[in-house]
Amino acid sequence: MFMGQWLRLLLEGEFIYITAIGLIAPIFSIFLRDTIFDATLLTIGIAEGIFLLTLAILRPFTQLTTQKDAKGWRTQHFFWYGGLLVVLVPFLYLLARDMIDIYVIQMLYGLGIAFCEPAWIRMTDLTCKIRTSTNWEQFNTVGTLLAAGMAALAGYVAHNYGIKPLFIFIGTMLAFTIIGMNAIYYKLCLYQVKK
Amino acid sequence: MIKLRLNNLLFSDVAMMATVGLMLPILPIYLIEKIPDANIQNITFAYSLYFISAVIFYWIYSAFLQHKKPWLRKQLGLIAGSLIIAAAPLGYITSQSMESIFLVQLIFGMGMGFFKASWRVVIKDIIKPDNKTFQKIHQLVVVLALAIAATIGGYIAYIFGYTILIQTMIYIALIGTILNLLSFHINPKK
Repeated sequence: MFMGQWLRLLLEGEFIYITAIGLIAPIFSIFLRDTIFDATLLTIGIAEGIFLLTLAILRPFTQLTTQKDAKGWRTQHFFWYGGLLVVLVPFLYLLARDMIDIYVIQMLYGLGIAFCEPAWIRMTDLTCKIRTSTNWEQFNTVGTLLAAGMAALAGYVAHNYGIKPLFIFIGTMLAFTIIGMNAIYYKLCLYQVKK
Repeated sequence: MIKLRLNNLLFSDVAMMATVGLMLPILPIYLIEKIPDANIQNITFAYSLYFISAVIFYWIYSAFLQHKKPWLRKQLGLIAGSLIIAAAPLGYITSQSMESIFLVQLIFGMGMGFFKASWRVVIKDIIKPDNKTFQKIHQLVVVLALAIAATIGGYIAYIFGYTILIQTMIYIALIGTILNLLSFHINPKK
């Protein structure tokens, strides 16, 4: 019963995170075009490329570093720093003045996601192990559907209230989610080891 | 022979993801510039329609694969999916309203759903499900392809325009289709 509650919280936390990412993705290019003076199709493509390239380069290293982390403490440290970077990203977008700033933010975003991933993988693996009815494909499906739904919601909010309030909302939501997920990680992965 | 099939399938998936990745980051700007009734609200709806359609058709085709002659269905699914992905970008050029863009996004997602469902099953036949090395290589190569595609997509659209970008998308998807055809394998026992 105790474990079931934590698992439910974990799932909700992960979905809130996906929700936040789903909120940013579709309006990111419009945001850049409207607010950054030197944003062109080329620079927007480069910005997206930088994020994915950073993620692709760092992902093997973070996964390798946390692979033999039996107790999970190192993974939690990665999660703290990665989570902090991810939370900062929406606020940094609002402070950006030119595309160089955006490139740096995209790099930090890639770094943050690469640092958070080992902890998410660990928690999802554990969830799938405890609840055999849950598997990775279900996680991916629900996550994609939720992100798609949130993309549509983001459009509504941005259309009616503007893009800046949306980014502030996303940043706040991410902050609460990351704090919550760190607590869950502690209870789920580390507390069990200590016991 | 198995290694060649595996490589063909790996690069066909890379080609399909690159096709999507070329346009996805700049799609909202394309719609605002080219479609008269486009606004943030219906652009994000179009964006999410692609993902919803991909997930729904993925599960539908996965269920379809479990019936008679799965070996034929999954290979046809690969080819049909990649052909739909190759044809769908044409809709971006011809669309004049957001309603037709919604339809294009639905078709695009359908192609991706068919392709992904079949691809996953075909790969499972070739390698063991717990083959971590292939999974890691696949994950890395796909993200790298998406990163390069996003940059090149922006470059092509900026220098040559959207028509050339859409043509590039079609050519890359057709290369993926050829790779799928090369990996076609008759195995009625499975």
